[in-house]
Amino acid sequence: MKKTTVYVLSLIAALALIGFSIFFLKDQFKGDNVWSSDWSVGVSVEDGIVAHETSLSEFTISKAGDYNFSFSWLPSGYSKKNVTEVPSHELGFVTVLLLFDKSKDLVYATASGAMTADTTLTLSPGTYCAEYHYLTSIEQYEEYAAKYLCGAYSAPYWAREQAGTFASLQKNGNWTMEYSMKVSSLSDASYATSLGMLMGFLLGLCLVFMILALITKGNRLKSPKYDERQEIERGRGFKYAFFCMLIILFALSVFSAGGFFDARDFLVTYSLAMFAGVNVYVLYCIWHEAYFALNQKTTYVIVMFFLIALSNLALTIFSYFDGILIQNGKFGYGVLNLFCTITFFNMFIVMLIKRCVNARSEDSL
Amino acid sequence: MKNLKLKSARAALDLSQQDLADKVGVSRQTINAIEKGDYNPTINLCRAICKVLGKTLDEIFWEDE
Repeated sequence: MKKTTVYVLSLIAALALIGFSIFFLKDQFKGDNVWSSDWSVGVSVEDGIVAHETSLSEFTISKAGDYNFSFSWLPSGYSKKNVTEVPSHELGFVTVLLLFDKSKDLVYATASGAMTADTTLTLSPGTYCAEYHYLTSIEQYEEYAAKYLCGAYSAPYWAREQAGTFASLQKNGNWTMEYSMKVSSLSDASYATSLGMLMGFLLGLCLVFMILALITKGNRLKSPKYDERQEIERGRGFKYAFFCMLIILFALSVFSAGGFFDARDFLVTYSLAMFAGVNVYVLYCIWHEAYFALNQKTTYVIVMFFLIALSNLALTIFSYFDGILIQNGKFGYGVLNLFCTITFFNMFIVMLIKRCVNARSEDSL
Repeated sequence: MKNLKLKSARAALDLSQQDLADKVGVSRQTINAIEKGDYNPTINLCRAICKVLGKTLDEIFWEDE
């Protein structure tokens, strides 16, 4: 294929993918909302009694699945950014949120002077009712804790401990509170995320292809040419890699059944199997001199692999310190950089060893 | 089994493994594997090697009794 044709095709593909990516990302931000509401309430406390005692909101879930339940209650003038600056000790009441299902069974409960939170709830189809209450005394607080949060035995300790942070309970006054609640479907969001990721991956491939086309010398991109022995060795490499993937997946499912590993952690399960397969294939081919084509320059590729390994190592370290590598005790997407680092370093080391072995067995005549 | 006939025929023409590989259109490791007896080439590759070395198939690839 001519270089100019490659440029034009890659450019068109890249532009199309950017368009698709923007479309899906836009969709992700707007399309997954199941229910949301924002309102403000003037809460007045007089002699320990709240004029505005309860606030109710209902929403309906039509499809079972995981939902992001995001809510906040803050005094007027504060936002998520400065929630820690809210002087909770000056509030004369504590807001309590209770989420019930249609059978009046408690799904979620929390209490605080001011807070913002995001949590994931697994919900079944049906109507849910969110209730806000305003508590003004330790007794009310204790009763609430005993009923919904920690049981009758530890409720008094909990209430006393918590009440210590709200020194002004039962204090008279008027407060304007901003409430916000949003329920969004994680299933729909994941769908958009998957498409967005796929588009991003293809976009990356296009860019790599374009860069390769730019730096390749000559007018045509050479397709790799392997001799008959190399083709046979590559076939063997594929076979071993395939069986390696099967064995890894089987082993992971066996360990998962025994409780040593969670096979539902798809990112680690599949990427571990994929990278193990890739390692077996590539290392076998390198060792049997079937990785590089006849018309390929090996030194350039070895240096490139070393640089890729280094850049992935840097990304792994950054993602570790940013908390992306391990999130909530599970590996995040940063684990892909870790696997890439291991793979490329393996390739680099095996290539170097093979070069040394070849140099020793070099037969000039 | 090592293919010493191939090695000697190549040496007689003062060709290195790499030279022969380039003329035949395969990798140096493939010629090396054939000489060491680690790889049995196809008839097409045998013919290509024989043509470059100016020998017949019998002379290079037929085992002595």
